[in-house]
Amino acid sequence: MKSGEVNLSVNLGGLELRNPVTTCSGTYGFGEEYAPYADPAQLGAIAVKGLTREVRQGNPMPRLAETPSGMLNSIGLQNPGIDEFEARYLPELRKLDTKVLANIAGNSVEDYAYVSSRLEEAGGIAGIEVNISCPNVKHGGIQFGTDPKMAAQVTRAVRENTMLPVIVKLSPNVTDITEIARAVVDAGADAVSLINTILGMAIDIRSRRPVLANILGGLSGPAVKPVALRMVWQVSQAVKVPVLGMGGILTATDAIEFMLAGATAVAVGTGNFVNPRAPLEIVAGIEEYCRANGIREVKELIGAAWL
Amino acid sequence: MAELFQARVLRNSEVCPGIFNLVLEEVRLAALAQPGQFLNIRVSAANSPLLRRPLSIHWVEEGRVEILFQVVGQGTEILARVRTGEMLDVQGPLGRGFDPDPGDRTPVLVGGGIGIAPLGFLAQHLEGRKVLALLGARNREVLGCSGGTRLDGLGVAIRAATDDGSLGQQGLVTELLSEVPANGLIYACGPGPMLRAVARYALEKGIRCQVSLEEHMGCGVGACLGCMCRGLSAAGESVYKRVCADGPVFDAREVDWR
Repeated sequence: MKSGEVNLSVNLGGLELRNPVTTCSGTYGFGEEYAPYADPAQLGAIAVKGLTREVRQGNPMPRLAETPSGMLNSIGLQNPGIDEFEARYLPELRKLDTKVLANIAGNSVEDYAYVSSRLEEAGGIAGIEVNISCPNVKHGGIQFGTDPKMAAQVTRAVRENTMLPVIVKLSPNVTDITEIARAVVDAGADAVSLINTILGMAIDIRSRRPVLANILGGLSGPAVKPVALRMVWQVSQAVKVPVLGMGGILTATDAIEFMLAGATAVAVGTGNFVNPRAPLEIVAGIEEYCRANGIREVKELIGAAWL
Repeated sequence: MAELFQARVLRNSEVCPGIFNLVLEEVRLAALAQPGQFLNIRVSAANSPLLRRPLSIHWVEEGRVEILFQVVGQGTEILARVRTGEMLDVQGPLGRGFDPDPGDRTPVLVGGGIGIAPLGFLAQHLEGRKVLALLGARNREVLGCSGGTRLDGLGVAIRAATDDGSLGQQGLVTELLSEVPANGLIYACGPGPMLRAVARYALEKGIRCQVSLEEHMGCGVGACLGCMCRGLSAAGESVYKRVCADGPVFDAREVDWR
């Protein structure tokens, strides 16, 4: 490395990332949608839309509500299912010069196991993010993410069906997130990602009804950042595996805060909607921050705020 | 292909109460834009309102892109205060627009209220053809400043319906649909109930029809699946389609109107 250069690479549970900036599942489609604005080759990884064994239509409309410095969504895991994902999207994703994280969800432990083994066989995926925290579906999703035993069971099922790094995505809608984090790490998770959205709702005073057809939705955007940061701080000190931090990250400052709180890497979600170049600007901003502060290895930032 | 632009505001004027004409100077955007496409505009550098506002392209001329918007909430209120010389963060052009080649069919523009706006840009592409427009609005003033005056300037034959009868006949624009010739191709934009009535009429009469739908959007690029409409698959099943990326313009036969 030349003098003055910053080594941005990090290791996220066995995933070698060229830099610590990734994108959140559900906000980045299948990688094509944001290609005009941000070259995936300049990102550490991208996470694609949550996949299930079967095709899912998702929830009825309206699915979105804008809230102060944030938004609620209740998409309901609409996705083409593993078969079409393999046939139509995976070949395109393989062409990208970046690590692709597949995000998976299911109604049962068997579903998670099945989709994991399919992805393992298919190839072209760098890691599996296990969604045990979707607040918008009736079965599976959040119920796996709020009970440590269930969370461990799902993690174990995925672990047994793949050699790929397994990242378990945690729900903030629990009393003690470190309890769930410990449970999934004990069950074999290589890393944890957090936070998924925070359960919320919006009401329309004209119709006197909830705005979302699903009534409840998941809150994201800058509004959730302090909560996400707190949970990254707690979890990263409670477990030995790396943390992928997310929740309201829009700028390099946000991302650096997450790393200082203990995140090994970060993910941009709703921020992409606001600024499609946010992930690239964050990579550049982190590098600049390191250079300005005489930091040669971005890894030095991880947990640097711990007391 | 869409891009991100820092577009200079050449003018932002209130053309009639609550309706603004925003003129952006951005040569490349002007060159890329197609009728029926939209721009996703970040109205505030602060985080609230957080999401961009999707607005249809009203007019493109000499490197300038014009928007007509009605103030309906927090985002458009902020946009109404934008001044000449300011730079706006504009993402676009986005979405699938109108198919602007009507072949040997007679193009018929059907617009309601501020929904008339994108028909202006379409009419620019149809210049030199005989074009009919069926336009509806609250009154003469709103009809004119929502794009009616511009269509008139292009020589489009206009039949109007207004709520107060101040221009054309009193009533709804859908009451004018019998004027669409059998070989017509309808291009429609306006409120949901209007589009539904227009599409139903067209489907019943076997007249070709393209509709521009509207929905609140999250990303505007097809990633978040927040702005869905009920469409029909090739096999005729009801499926969700993305208004931002599969549309906003759909052939009336692609939409599930049930």
